[in-house]
Amino acid sequence: MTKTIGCGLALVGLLVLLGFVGVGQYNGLVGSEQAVSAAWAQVENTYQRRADLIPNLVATVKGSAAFEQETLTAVVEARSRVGQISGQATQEILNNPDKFAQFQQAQDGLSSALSRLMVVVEKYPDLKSTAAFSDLMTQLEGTENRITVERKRFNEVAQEYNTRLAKFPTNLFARILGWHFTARPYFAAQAGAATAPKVEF
Amino acid sequence: MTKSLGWRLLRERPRVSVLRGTWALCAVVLALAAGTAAAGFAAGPVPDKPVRWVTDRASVLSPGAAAAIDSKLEAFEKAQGSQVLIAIFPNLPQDEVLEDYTQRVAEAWRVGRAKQDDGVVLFLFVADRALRLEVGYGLEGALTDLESKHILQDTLIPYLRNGDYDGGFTVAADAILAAIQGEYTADARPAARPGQKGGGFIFFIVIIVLLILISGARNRGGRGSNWTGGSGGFGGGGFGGGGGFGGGGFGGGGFGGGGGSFGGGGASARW
Repeated sequence: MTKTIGCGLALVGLLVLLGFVGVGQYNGLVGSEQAVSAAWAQVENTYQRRADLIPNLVATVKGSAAFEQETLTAVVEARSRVGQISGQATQEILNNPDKFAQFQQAQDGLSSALSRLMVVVEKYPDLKSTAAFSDLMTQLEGTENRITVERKRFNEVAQEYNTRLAKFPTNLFARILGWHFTARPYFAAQAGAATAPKVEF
Repeated sequence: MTKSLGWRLLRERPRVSVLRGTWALCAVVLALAAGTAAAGFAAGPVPDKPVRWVTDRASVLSPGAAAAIDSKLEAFEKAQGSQVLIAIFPNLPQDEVLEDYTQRVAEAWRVGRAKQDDGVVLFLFVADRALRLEVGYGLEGALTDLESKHILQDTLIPYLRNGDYDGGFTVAADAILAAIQGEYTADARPAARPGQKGGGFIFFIVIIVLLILISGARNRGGRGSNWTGGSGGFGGGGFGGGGGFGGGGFGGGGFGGGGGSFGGGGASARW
């Protein structure tokens, strides 16, 4: 009789304990997921900062006599593609690897259009020496640097989250209880960028 | 002795050994999971944390000038709380990109306070003739990229061109301090994050109480408690540990990082 009660109590206790551990796992995942979203918001901020600089840049360069139109048009077009992609909801981009790839492609497209512009500018020493242009260059440099940092940070936080999601026993809890957590994609190395993080996960 | 123990276990506690088997399996699975998940993003090493505000590992500053700048930066931190460091190295490590490296170093040294992110580090790599002013998140408004570039390009570099490192770093330090003067106050200590820690602690207590209850129930049921060696199976995933709090460097007189973050603000210059 006492044996049965003891067994029953132990079973109930074990279930309650499992419940608590489950709650801990779940809350941990939610916190981790929020951290990824926060890191993503920072990535978007820095990209937005770059997009905001472009109208100014285009206006300044246009003022210079006979600047090559093709290069400028490429920048403006890449900028508008970025605008379309970035308008989508954060969760949509983070949950869908294809959307994420599109986002990165559009941003990298703008990066390469900008670097082509920089190359062309070399042929216009008068433009390069103006204060307005060199100030813009400083701001653009700083923004590109911030983008690199925030992308790196996003990858780190996303990796932490993905690892937690895949680890035992969280993966078991997630499967049994049907939690809707999905792994987050990473930023891949930008073509030609030496500073890109190495993805080894 | 061992034989009789094994015999007793076999005879009286078949369920316990099953339980043990499960725990052993769990432990193996856990170890495997930990092993496969350990790979990460590669990041190169960073130099040792400095002990003073001015670190001249290339010996380009005169001891007198270095000490003067150092005490100025120390006094500034006492007065306002923001940490401004000068770090001079002989050269940039191989295969490192200037901005990536300096951001990582500044972050690893935990310059600035955790909540305010108000750290600034002025780097010089002598052989590369490369300068970098790394500005923490919290000071990006006061020390903008343009202002940073201006300090490097128009204030510091003219001195360096003449080989006057003492003069250059003295005026550059003054310019940095002038730019961030009044941004923060010294007494704004980072407050403990509310809720989190308390919640974790209560959760922990509840688990302990439950464990005691369970083992009590088992004892009353006539079975010797045999939970030893098992509890490693569940590593409560919910605890991230507070981390990130390191005293603001007011202690023993040397520099101590406060845990500030850097987002790549500032400027680079070469000459």
